[in-house]
Amino acid sequence: MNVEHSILNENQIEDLESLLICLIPKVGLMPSATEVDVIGFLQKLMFEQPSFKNHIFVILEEIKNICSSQEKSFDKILCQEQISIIKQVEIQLPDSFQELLKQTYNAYYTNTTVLKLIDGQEHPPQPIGHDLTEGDFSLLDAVKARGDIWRDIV
Amino acid sequence: MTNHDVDVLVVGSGASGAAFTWSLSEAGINVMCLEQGGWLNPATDYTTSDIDWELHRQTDFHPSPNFRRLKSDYPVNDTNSPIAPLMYNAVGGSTIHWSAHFPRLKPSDFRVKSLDGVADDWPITYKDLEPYFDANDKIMGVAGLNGDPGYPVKSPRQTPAIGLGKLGDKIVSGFDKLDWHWWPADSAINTVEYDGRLGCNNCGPCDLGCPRKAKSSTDVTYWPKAIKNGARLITNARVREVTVNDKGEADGVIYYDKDGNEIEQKAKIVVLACNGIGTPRILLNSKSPAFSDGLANSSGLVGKNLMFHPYARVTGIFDEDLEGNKGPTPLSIMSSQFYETDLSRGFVRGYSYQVRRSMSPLEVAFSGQITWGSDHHKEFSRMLNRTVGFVVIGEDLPELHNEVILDSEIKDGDGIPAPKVNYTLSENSRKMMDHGIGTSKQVMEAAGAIDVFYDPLIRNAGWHLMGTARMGNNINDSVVNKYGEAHDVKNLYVIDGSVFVTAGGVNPTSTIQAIALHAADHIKKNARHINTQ
Repeated sequence: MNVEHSILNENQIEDLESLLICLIPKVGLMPSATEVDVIGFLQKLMFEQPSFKNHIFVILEEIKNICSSQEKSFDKILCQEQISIIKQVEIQLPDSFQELLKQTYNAYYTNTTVLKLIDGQEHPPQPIGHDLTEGDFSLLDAVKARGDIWRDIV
Repeated sequence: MTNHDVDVLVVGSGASGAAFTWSLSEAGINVMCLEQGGWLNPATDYTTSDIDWELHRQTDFHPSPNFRRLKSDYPVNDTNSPIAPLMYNAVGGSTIHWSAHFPRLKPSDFRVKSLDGVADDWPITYKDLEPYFDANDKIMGVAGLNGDPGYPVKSPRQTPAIGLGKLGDKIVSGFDKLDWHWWPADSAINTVEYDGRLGCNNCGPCDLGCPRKAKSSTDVTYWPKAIKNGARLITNARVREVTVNDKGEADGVIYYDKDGNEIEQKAKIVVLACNGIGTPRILLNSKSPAFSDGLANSSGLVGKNLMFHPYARVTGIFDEDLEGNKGPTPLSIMSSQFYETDLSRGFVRGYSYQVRRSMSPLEVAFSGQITWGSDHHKEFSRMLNRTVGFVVIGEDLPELHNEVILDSEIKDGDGIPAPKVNYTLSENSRKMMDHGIGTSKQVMEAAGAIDVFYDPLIRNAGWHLMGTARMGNNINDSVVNKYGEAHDVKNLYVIDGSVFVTAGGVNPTSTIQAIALHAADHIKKNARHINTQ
C-alpha cells in the first residue's frame, strides 16, 4: 500500500506495530497482524477518516504516557507488560480501542494471505460459489405425520 | 415543469411497486413509476467477487440508510427506537439487499381479533389473496417443498428447495429429537435455472446482491417484463408530496429529478409503494388546507401502528466443521412450532424461527465471543463454519404509540423532512422473544451444540416495516380499504407493508406483493377513467 507521507512518525509506527502484534499475534501458521500489513490498512484509513486518525493518536499518546511514567519504551518492554498496558488503554479509552480493534479485524480478515489459511475462504463467494448437498428430506415424513399445525379460520 | 401524460403513477420500484406496475402494464395501461434510486448492474455493482466483500456490509451495503448515506438514501431518525429501520433505495428497493425469505402470512394472521381477541381483523383473508400469492410466485420464482403442515396446500413451487447441506442436516436432528416442526421454507431464490436466470451457486451472502440474478430481486424479475410491456421507470426521482385537485382527489406528485429540478407529474391515479416508513412520510408531508394533518389522514392513523418484526438471534457453536459457509446464508429452514397462539406460554400470538448458516469471518470476529491476544486464533477457529444461527421472528402487535412522524429538524438532500420513528418493544413481544430464545437453545442443545449465546433484540433488524397506513372497512380506524384505496382521498392507493393490519410472525414480502397484485386487479377492473388497450 502506498501512502504519500506516513501519517505516523517512526516511534509511533514501532508502538503501533507492537500493539498490533499483541492484538493478533502469530500462532502456528496464522500470521500476526503486522505480517499482513494491517498497519498499512490503518494508515490509509487514518488519511481518509480524520475521526479514526484521532482514535489512533489518542491511543498511542495514552500508551506513551503510561510508559513514560514508568520510564519505559513500549516497543522495548516484555510482551506481558505490553498486554497489561493495552488492557489499561482498553478500559480508559473504550471507544477508541473498539474502533482500533474493529479496523484491525477488518484489515486482517480481508487479507488474501489470511483468508487462504482459513477453512472455506480461499476464494471470495463469487464467481465460484460452493457445492451444497441436498440433505435428507425424507426426515420431513415425520413432520408431516404429526399433522397440520396452522389454524384455519371458520 | 408539469407533465401530464400518465394514467397511473407509482412511487417506489421495490417489491410492491414492481409487481403492481407489471400487472397494469400487462393490461396495456399507461403506467409510470418514480424511483428515488438508480439501477444496480448485477454484473458489476455487487461486491461478492471482491476479496474485501465483507467490508461492504459496513459501508455501501450496510442495511441502514443512515450508515450507507448514498445519494439515493434519506436519513431516518431512529434514535427513539431499539430497532433501526432498514431499507435499500434503488430499482428493486429492499429486494436488492434482502435475503429472499418468502413465506406467506398464514390464514390466522388475517383474523387476529376474531381468533385471539387482540389487534384487529384484516378486511381480506388468505383465501382472497391466494390466487395472487400463486401468480406472484410464478414471476418471482420460489424454491421450496410443498406439503408443509404449517400452511394450507399451495401450488407447486417453481424450483426445488434449497439444500440443507451438512449444517442443515445437523440442526434438523435437533428439531427431530424434540418432535418439533421444521420445513424448508419458501425462498425467492432459483435453485436451478428459471425464467432465464441462473440457478444459485450457493456462494453465501445473499444480502450483498446476486450477480447471477438467482436471487429474485424485482429489478431482475418484474421490471424487465414491465418495461417490455411499455411501463416507464424514471430513476433518481424523489417524491416530495402527493398533490390533490380542488375536489380533494389525488392528481399527481411533485418530485425532484436527478439534477434537483422540481417536477410536477400529473396522473389520474397515484399509488404509493414506498414501504412502511417512506409512505407515511410522503402522506404526512402532503399537507394542504384541506389536509392539514397530511393526506388521507382523517382517521389520524397515518404513521401510527408501526410494526416491526422484533428479531432475537440465538447462535449455537458445534464441535465440528459444518461447512457453514456453503449455501445461501439464510438457510431457509423455518419452524412454525410456536407460531399459533397458546396462552399458556404467557403471551399472545407467536413466532417463527429461521435457521441461518454460519457466521462469516468478520461476523465471527465481531460476535463478542472472540478476544484479542493469545487466544484469538483458537477462539476464532472454534467458531468459523461451526455456528448455526436462529433468528426468532416475533409478531409485533399494532400499538398507536409506535409511529412514524416527520422530524422537525432533519431533512434529506432535497430538503424533505426526514421520518422519525418512535417505537417501544411491548411486554408481549419481549416475552415472545424470550420464549423463542429459550426454545431455540433447546433445539441447539438437542442437535449437539457445545455452546449457545444470544442477542435478545437485534438493533439492525428493522427490515419489515408495517402498519402505518393500515387497511380496513371503517374510515375511522383505517387509512385505506381492502384494495389499498385511501378512504378519504379518491384516486390515491397504498400497496406496500404500510397497509398491514397485523404483522404475522414471518417475513412480509410475499404477502406485500400479493396485496399489490390484488390492488392492481381492482384498478384494472374498476378504474373506468384510465385507458386500457
